[in-house]
Amino acid sequence: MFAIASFEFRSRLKLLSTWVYFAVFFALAMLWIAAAGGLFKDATISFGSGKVYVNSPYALAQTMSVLGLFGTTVMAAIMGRAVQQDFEYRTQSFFFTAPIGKLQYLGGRFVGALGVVGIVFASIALGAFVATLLPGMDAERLGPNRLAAYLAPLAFVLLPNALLIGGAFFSLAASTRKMLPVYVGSVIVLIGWLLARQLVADIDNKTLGALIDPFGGRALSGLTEYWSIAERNTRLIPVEGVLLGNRLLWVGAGLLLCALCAWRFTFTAAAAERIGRQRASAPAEAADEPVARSAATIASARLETTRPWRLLPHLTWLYWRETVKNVYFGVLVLAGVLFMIFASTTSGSTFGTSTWPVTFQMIGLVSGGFAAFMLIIITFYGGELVWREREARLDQIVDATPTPTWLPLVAKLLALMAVPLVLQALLMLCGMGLQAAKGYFRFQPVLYLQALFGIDLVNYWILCALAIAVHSVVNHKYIGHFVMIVYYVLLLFSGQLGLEHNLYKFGNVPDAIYSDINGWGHFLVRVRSLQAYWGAAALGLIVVAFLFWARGTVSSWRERLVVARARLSAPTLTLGAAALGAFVALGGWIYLNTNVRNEYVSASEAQRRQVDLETTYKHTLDEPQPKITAVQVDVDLFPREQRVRMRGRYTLVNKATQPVRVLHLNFASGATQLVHALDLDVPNRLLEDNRRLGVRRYQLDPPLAPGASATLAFDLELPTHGFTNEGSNTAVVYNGSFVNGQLLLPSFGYDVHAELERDQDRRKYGLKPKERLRDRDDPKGLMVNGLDKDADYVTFETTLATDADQIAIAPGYLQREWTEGGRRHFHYRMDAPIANFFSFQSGRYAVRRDVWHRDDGSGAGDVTIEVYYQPGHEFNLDSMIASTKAALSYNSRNFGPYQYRQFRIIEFPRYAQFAQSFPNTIPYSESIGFIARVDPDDEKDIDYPYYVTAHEAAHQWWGHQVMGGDVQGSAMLVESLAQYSALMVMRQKVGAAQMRRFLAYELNRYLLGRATEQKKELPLSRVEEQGYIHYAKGSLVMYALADYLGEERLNQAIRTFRDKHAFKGPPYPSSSELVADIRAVTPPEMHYLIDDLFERIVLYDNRATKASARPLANGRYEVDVTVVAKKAVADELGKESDVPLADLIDVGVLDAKGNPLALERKRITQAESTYRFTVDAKPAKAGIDPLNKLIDRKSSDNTTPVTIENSKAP
Amino acid sequence: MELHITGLSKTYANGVRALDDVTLTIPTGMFGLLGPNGAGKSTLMRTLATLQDADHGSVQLIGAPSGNIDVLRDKDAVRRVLGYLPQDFGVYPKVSAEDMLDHLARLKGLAHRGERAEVVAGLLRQTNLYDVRKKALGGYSGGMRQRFGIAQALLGSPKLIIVDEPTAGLDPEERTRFHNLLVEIGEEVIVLLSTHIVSDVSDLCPQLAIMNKGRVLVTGTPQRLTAALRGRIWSTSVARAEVASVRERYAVISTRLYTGQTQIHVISDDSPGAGFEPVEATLEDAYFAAIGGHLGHGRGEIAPGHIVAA
Repeated sequence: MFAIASFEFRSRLKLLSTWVYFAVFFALAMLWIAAAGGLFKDATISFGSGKVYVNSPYALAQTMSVLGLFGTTVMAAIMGRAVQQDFEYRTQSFFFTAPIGKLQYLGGRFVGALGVVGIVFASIALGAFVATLLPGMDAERLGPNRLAAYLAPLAFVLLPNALLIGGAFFSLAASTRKMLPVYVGSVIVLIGWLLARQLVADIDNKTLGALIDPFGGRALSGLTEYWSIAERNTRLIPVEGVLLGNRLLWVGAGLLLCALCAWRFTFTAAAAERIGRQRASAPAEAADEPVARSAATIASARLETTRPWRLLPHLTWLYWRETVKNVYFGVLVLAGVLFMIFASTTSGSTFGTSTWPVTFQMIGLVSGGFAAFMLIIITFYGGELVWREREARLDQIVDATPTPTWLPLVAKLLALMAVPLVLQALLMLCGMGLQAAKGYFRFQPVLYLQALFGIDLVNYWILCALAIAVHSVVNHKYIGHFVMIVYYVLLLFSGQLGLEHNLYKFGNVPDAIYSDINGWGHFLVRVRSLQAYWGAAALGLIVVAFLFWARGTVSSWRERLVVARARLSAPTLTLGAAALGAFVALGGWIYLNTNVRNEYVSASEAQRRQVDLETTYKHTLDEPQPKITAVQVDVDLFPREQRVRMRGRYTLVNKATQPVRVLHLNFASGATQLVHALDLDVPNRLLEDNRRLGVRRYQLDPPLAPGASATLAFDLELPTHGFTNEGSNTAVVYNGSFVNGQLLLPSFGYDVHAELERDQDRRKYGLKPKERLRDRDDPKGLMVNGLDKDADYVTFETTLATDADQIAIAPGYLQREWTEGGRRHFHYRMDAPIANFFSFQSGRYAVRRDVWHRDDGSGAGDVTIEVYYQPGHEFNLDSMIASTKAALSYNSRNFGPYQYRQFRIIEFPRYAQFAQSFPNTIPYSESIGFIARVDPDDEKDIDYPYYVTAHEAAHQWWGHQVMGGDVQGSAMLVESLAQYSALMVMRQKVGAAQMRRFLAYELNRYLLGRATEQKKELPLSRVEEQGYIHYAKGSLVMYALADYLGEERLNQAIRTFRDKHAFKGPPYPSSSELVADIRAVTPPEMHYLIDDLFERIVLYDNRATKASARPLANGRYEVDVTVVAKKAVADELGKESDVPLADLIDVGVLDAKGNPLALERKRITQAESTYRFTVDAKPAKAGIDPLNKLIDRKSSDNTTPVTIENSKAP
Repeated sequence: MELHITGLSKTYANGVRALDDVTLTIPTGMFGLLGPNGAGKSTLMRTLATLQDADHGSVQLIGAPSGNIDVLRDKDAVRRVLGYLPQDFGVYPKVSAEDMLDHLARLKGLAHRGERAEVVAGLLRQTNLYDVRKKALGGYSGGMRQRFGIAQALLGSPKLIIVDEPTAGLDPEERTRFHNLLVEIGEEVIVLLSTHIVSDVSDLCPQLAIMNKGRVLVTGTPQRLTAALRGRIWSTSVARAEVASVRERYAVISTRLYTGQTQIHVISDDSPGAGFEPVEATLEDAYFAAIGGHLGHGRGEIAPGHIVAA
């Protein structure tokens, strides 16, 4: 066996292909780590956080596990071919007749091939290691190199994969003696991976997801997802928990498969050669029967070799049938369809709650869910088709027929192109079938046709041409497949590697986003242009494929070049030149759009601008600037032209103590926006106009004295010309425009928030690391409004003009509406000052109206509620309105009256996925609630439209009544309080049990967020624009606090805080004031809690170790539970230190449904303690903090099942 | 019709000289190309069948129906008159002979459906495969498969038929059957048959050439080749142990075991001595004499009586 293994090993090492795989993986790993390590300025790779070392155990494990995924094809080629090649080359009889056992034969081949795979995979570790030695790497991104960090993923992820997946491929190929089952096998493992990825979207399925990923990557992520940055940098990946389970499961499965193969494999000739079996039944025939001569007909038949294209349909049909008419293709397609059906059960899931299967959602599902299968099918069958005759050893016969060389090439291409054509039709049926199965019958077949055929299919066809061309030119099947895989990998990560322009990313066509509101909008021009461009490239590739198309027995490159030169006939040259010409012309057209008519700003250019802004203008930071006190703006929206023009005036007042000498204006849209007029009514001189950085500076002469005012009249326009390389103007669209005022209107003074923020990026440009925000109590910062630094409160008035069939909405109350010159005008005015924070929307909306009768005793009038929505999206309007009423009521009663007479929700297209609260106006994306499908009977479903609405409604208080300063912690005042209001409103509706589910998502979000922190994690009261803290941790903290203090008492503190600060400022309140107000209502024994929740990062590791119960008389039970408590404080990067316990923590007993039977708050001072409860019903679980109110990375071990002891026991 | 091969040379990328200045004239009728494995026969055949290019030389097909054809340049014209049975070919195992032949007929240019069906049926009959035409090719025996191979080679009434080692691996019965098939092919076309089995050629071919190491050693009719050796082949039987000493002393052209003794043929103008008997020269003797360098000088026709001494 050793001899066979070493023969296999040595002969594979002599193959060029082995070293191609080795070199490519080596290069990919090196490139990846080098890019992450800051070697290339344009690359933006990081392992979750720029603080994680690129050679940390975590980063290496991730890198190796991801690259290992792409190693599947190598395993197929090496492990699958180990035995199969003996059949293909018909050398099996040498081995079968040699004096070796089948186990020796199989084992030897297997071990040998495994060794080679091991060597190839080792190149990933080697490449990563070499990258860390390259000069030019950012020293801050590198930790110490540890051998174990390189070996562990190799040993626990890649080699077990080789054993399992390689073993499966080996067994499949050995048992069937074919390679196609191996491809199918690789698809099956891919499905495992996809399923795992799909499953973890729902936090209940995380463990299952981690287990079923055959590659182990998901288990690796599951094991490490809550690791803090400090842990990621230092901890070696342990083989424990889900990773251990996953590895055992799959290695076991692999071994089982191998054993099965060894058992089933036979050396006998009959099985070895199926032909042999059939030969036995070969039809008998008469021996030496005189043959009838039919030479006459044979000789007289007419030959038609001058019109070969007539053969094209025949050949295409033949090739296509060969491709699809086999069981493997069926298995592939079936697998894809089953996966899609599975994926549809969790489609568009938010908080574990799915959406209605509207057609664009289903299209995303079927085309996205099947895309991986389609790529595999195109790649594999591209290879199969190109190699078809040669593998059947029919090539010499066919090549000698008088057919032109282009004929099989074109026929194979067409056959390959017909495959996705048919599959797309299948997907369309699947999509509609799934819709029907979910009880949704609003079919939109035309939309399916446009998306699946009009867009996707064309992209697939371009890939088909590439696959055929690669296989033709490479002329080695497995290397050909590998080249395709490398292409996919590079394309997938091109953005992170800094390759951004579509012009050099073959086949890359930017997405067209369909919205029910705006249809395909403006996206199709760009899609079609790039498709035409790559189509021309594909045609050129086919010409190249023709030149190198294998015909006859030519094999060396020297000979192939001679042949290629001979094929350069006039028609070939003409076609090639035409393709090239079209390619260049279309490329020019695209370039004209992306780089001439629009400004091409790559990610690195955008960074350079930030750097230049900082180096050029940082010194002006302290120049006093005036504040806006009044905004009057007339907005002309031209939806069809995607153009908006804003004319109006700011009233400016110098609120500073020093005169304003220079007025510094920033234009967010930089050179893209047109400045038709900009007039100051005080004497001034334009100092500079920096179009690239969007800065204009005016010298005021005389300076604007403190207290003096001025007017800035403006006339600005944002036009749209053609299309851009990435992104697009999604603000002004055909239907459903959503224009933020800040997009176009100038802001004042040097803005530190426009600076480059991530330290690893700053280092690349030689900038010092920076703080994100001022200290929470910084007096300068508290003088600046956190929402908009250019104003405190402004009066606001606007007139909108839009297309005659659209409704336009802005903050304020509608004064007048009229149509003039074919355009519809709306005049809005706000009757009280608001934050300088407004937006403009326009669309063809339907409106649902309702009224909230105030119940807060304020005596103010009713509030009208309006929801502007896309017809067809009625699903959750009632829920939104109910939530609005509940939120307005709860907040008014507890915190102070609602300040407006009206509350409006306006749907906008799904180009962005958020809702945002402007004064009396809530723009609300169609994708985050309008199509949610909340099943009231499913207790797992979370009514997130209700939650989002309540959150945004709460912002009318937190953000529009109380505003924070431009300091740390102000997001807590705005977002955490809005979360708190929303949670309380939600709890009234869904009850405490479902809130626990919601909070489990918040805990997950917090723990994931801190693991990918870019700079430093801060306590809640010092939060710096960190969503995982101010939303997720904010929810957890405020909910726990309401539980510990009581909702009433907490609300009283918040009310006190609100009453002090509503509609006031500057100075604006800091988070420490809110914390103080809360502390004031907190009993002293809980003061530690205020510190833990707001001022520190505290993590518990609580768990129950033992629980037992004895039945008592009258159905009661006595429960003993032993719990272990541990508390740690984490630093900015998550380095933890244990702190002594003296904490009030719940201990209790739950029933089978998870509802508490007993719950007592105990002061726990010891690590381990035991408690006794007497409960009225049968206990199921018992433990510490059983309802997960505290932050604990492992919530599941807080309780342990209760063992019911026999009552007779002593 | 005649095929003129002039100065054809081919060297592979690995340095092997597969064809070394091959010059041959092949008339209509059956022409045998005899040589051991690796002699360059298949390279020559594939070059004639347009499947690969030569480095030097020219090949002309004179008097084809469409006029003279420059085989190396005008490949398409060659393919229109070519019937080719490669040395090693496979089939789609699940496709029936009839369907496969029909498909190949289309590729050959038999566009008319009715005629094509007739031709296919005719060829299947001719090759005695008609009764099994619906069966999958995967189930065919080696002989049946070879006959299918000749059927496809005969599609489109070719004028130049190239069959490369068609009888290798066939049992004697199948071989005879295959020979019968080959002789039925019209005498107005060129049939180039390559083989390493001498009796294939002696059974079938009025003309032959012997090749070795990329060179043509001799060409001619079997009669002329054997005539050149008349009276110069001597035979003896020795024990196996003595073969080496006989080889040292005489120009041995072939050895063969027969009833445990080694039968040795040597070439010599005079009697080599006691124990040697004169034997009638066969084509096989000529073949081995040529391979051993005792006959011909690698180029052109053999000069009668010219013997190269060992």
